[in-house]
Amino acid sequence: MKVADLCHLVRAKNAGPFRVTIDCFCKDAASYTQLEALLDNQSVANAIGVKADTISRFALPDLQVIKFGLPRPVVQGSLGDRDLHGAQWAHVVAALPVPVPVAQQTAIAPPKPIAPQTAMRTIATVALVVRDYDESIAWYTQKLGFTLLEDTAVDGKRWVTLAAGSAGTRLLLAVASNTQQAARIGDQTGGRVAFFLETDDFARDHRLFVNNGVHFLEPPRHEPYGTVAVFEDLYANRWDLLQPAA
Amino acid sequence: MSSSSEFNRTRILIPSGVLGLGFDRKALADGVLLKPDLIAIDGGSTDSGPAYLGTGKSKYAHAVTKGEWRELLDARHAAGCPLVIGSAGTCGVDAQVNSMLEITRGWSDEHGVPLRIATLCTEITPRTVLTSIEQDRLSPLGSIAVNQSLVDAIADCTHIVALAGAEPIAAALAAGADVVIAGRTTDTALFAALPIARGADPGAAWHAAKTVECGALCSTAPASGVVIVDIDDTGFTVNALADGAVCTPYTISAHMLYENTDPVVLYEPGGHLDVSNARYVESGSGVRVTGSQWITDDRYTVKLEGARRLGQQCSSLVLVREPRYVEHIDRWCHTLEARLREDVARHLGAIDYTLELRRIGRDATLGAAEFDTRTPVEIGVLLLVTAASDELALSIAQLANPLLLHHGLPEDTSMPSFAFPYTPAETPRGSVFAFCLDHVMSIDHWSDACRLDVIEHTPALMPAQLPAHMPAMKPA
Repeated sequence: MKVADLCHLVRAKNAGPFRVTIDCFCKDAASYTQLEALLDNQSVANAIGVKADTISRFALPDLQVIKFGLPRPVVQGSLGDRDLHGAQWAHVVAALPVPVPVAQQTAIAPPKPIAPQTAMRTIATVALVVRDYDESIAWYTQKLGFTLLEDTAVDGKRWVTLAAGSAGTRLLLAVASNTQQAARIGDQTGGRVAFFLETDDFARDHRLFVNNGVHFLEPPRHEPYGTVAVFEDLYANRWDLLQPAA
Repeated sequence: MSSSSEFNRTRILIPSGVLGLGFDRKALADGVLLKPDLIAIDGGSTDSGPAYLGTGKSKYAHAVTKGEWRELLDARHAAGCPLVIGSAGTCGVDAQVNSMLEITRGWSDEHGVPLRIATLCTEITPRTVLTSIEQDRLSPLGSIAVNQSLVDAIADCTHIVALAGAEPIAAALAAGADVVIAGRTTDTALFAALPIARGADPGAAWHAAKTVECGALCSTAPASGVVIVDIDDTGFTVNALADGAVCTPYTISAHMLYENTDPVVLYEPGGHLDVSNARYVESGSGVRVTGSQWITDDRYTVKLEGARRLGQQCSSLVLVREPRYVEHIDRWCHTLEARLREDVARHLGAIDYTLELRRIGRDATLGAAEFDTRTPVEIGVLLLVTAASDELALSIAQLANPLLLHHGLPEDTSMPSFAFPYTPAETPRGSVFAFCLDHVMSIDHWSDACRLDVIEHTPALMPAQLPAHMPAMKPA
């Protein structure tokens, strides 16, 4: 796992010509706790090429942000500087590996079969045809805050599942393997809304998604059954963001 | 909009994060109708590099600066309140203050509206800084020690500015200025000055200023520009004005992180802001913030910025598409550079110069920190040469030309050719500069580093003399 997997945004920017600041905006409280424990000054220092004792680090639980301040390796605009605004250091920090804690490994590793219980059936997994595993994982986890449950190699393919939270119906990302499948990317339902993402706080999630750059096709509507707005995913599949009426 | 008493409230309209970036016209007009006490906008930053301070130039086209400033003068006239710009012309040198002054005079003449214009010049001489070193008044903020090499660098500076705080802006407004054109100020001082002068809580005023300094960057629609803030004796309330732009407790509290290495402390002339105990709550359509603290320092310091010329630069770009050369680009660059240095020594002698070959597509952005090892389709090799004169820099780039075009790997028997995307392949870049001051200077009074002039500008043509198609504007 990487820092980017725990964050909805990693941002770097000059703080004047001599310093740079890197902000890791975590996805949620759990991601924040994990990153706070695992991302230290030394790993950031090694990646960027400065001394660890020149880095200041701030953990901000209210904002779920881990923030680093450090001297620029080269003063802004001087000979040898490669990036005037210092924004590209974000890519270095976003790509830093974060060790997966043991507890979480056991929690997410084996795909738990849905136990056949008495008179109980669940639609456990729905396949979503995608062009590329990594770009779709990045989009659903970064834009919508989905959790990556599994990513394991199986017979030359990958078994990749996501969920909106830590539980609930899983999405199986299936990379199109022929032209017929590829033609269905972004259009599994002939233009109808294909997926229904329910939330307990429409306003919060709508704002969050808009902030994340998710494209909504309409302003929020208030229907008898709840508050709803249709958005597109990276392949233009249509989704409802929906808060059912109380 | 404010939940607090009206009598002590200062309402500031902020058209955008910086003059030259554009703003939402409808939102600005809506803001004017809300009767602001001040319209304020930032005009600059060090963010685009030392070339602007080094040359004393603005990064925006004069036509854009002029057009937007004239629109803001219209808005000021309609609102009947003062208009302030800080860090005029990107770098805030005196010449940029004068350029804005001329635009302002032109507007006044055309509209037949007399204006009291205050200018704040914040450029200081190397001599002033060297004197402050002799008097032990210069302190480093980072790792640049106060020593002989700093003294040499200061003497080499083409321009030095001292970032003005709130006091000179307040003095200009107290002088009854309709328009204040300030050289380099802190990003926040131009917003904090008026509310503090009118008795607002200084913690609230500085925190409000930090929040709105980038316009709508503190909202959900960063590019929309226009925000309005009410500051009073207990806190401030901020609202975004463009359609679809919203300030939330999250966007407002998160903005404190922006371009600031410390998320809770902000240093300013004469003290610092501490937002550790700030509370952010939704208030109407905006956000109300209370609990920010201002701590006065017993010294009054101003931060300095200085740029010195490093030399003259020339660049060249060649594109390498041949897969075998893409694969061996490290070796190609190393052997090319070694050969070029030999050629320079042979033809130009033992001269002082630097050269770099940056591999665009491989690691030009991150250098040694690049972690992605995938093989690209093609690589742009950017040559940067810096030497004492334009002629020398160009000569070295010209010596590089046949190598960039034809340099082969040592094992090659045939001569490869690479792609120059344009001709001539060499692009003289003029002077290159470096920021060399990361220090604060302790002064006794703001006027030791800033000069206030108040100009009564009477239009060349008074309203009665204006042609009929250009009626004098009436204050709202």
